[in-house]
Amino acid sequence: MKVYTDTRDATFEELYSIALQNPDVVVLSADTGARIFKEFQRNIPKQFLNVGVSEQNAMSVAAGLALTGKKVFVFGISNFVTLRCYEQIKNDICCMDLPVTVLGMGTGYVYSIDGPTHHITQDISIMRALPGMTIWSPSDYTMVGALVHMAYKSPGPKYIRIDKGPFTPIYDPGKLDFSDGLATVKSGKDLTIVATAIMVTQALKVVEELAIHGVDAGIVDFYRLKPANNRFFLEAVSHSKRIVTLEEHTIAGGLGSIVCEIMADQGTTIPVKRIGIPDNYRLEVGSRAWVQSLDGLDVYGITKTILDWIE
Amino acid sequence: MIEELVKKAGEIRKQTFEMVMKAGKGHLGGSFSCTEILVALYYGKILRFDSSNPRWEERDRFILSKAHGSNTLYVILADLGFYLASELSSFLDDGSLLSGHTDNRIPGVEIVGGSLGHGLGVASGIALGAKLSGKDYLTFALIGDGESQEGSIWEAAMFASHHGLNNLIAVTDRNNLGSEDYTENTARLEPLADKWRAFGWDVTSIDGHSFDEIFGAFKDVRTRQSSRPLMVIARTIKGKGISFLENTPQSHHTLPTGQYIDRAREDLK
Repeated sequence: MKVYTDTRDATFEELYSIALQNPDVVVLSADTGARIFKEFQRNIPKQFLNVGVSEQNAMSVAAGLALTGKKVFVFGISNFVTLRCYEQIKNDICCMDLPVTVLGMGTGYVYSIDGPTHHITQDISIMRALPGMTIWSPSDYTMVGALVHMAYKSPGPKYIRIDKGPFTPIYDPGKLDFSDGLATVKSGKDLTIVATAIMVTQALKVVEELAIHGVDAGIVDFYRLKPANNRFFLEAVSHSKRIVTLEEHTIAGGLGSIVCEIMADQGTTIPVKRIGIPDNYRLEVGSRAWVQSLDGLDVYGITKTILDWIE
Repeated sequence: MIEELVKKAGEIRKQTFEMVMKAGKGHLGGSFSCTEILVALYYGKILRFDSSNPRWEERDRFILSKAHGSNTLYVILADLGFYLASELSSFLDDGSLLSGHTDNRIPGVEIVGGSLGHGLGVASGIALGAKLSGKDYLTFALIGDGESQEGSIWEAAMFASHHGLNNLIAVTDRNNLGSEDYTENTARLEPLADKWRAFGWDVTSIDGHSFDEIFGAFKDVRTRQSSRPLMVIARTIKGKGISFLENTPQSHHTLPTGQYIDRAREDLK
């Protein structure tokens, strides 16, 4: 796979290569663009439809297409292809276990300047409540492209929550298999930061800060949120003295909740600190980094929260 | 044939009534308003199907978007041999094949239904899929008029006409009632036919209890030259066949009790 520096390119250039080879692939866009859609329209026009600003219908149409044997990808801004059409995803896609992949662009505060209607800070909570749904939360460009291939090959409903980045590249561009569901990015003897999506990049900076303060922190990239790989997770944190979960998502039902649920169900007792978005909406306007800082999700804020906790 | 179908519709209503009364729950009103439409589709050689092979690839797809009309559909599917008639006696029981709304585990049923406003969009996707795959089967969707207050119906309406889904035929069961009140008292639908025309559909309006008019609307569905989807607005009576339930909001899911049970049976004779 080629080396990407943009998640939209990674997603749709890989999807285009799949669609060229497989006429059963149909891509629906809820009036959201990508550069390569012009190539779809020029070369495989029957396999790409901009269905307009109608996410509910996009999901129902996707289900109908899937019932005729198509493998369908539905693309839109994350908030609108999850919350807006949640019931269509549940009833039309999940209840019938159809091979539809929802590609949600712009998770968390990606669209920070556009206000709370465009912030999507509860997609993990709600999408993981759907039985049968696979949720991927990629942490770099390579993974985004690889997951599109995995989505094509696997049955049932999938949701890929796509961050715009910028990501610090973590995985070798040749890596195509992300079936483990999580990976240890760095080992650390004092604590393990379990992060997902863009917060893995943030965690790489936080561990450098923590090192300055004499704290040796590891990082686990938890990129498949559902179904979670419980066994690998418990192995990855088995020697940790403490766990910090880190997500640009509400702490109500997100990654932190997933981690706590796994440990509670397995009877594992390791102290956990959940760092994420508190129970609020952000009406403040500004850059993503600034809005993150309001919730303590900037490098300084995260580092301080961890240091305060372990002291 | 019309006489036979009239008789068949009467039998289907009787069986539906007894099935629902045994279960103690159901949707008689919305099931009885669409009885003639369903009987015409399944017994009048409009729909292409094979009850011994419910997943036959070339079958027409029938989507019951107003899935609370399932009560009548279940009786018809059993009568046609999609499953044993004995299944009807377990309607709504623990572990029954037949739930209050439809699901696609039931032979002859295409989708999980029950939440209103979904079926036309799914039907549009199926119709588009058929075109993409070069298949000549038709997709039918029966929607409710109350259901037509859902915005998703109109998203689907735009989509289907925009993509020229002339292999999609929808029927609106225009019984004028939602669950609690008349549609014109809650969120006015009229002029309904004009709305569908404005959304780019061919539209015809019929008496939904007249087999002559139903067949008139469907006679050329496989050969029509239009590039548009077809909407058949069927004027119907909710609770049709049980005099004291007809055209009443309570017919939606209220069942007769006491002496009214015998009166209903008398009406359905």
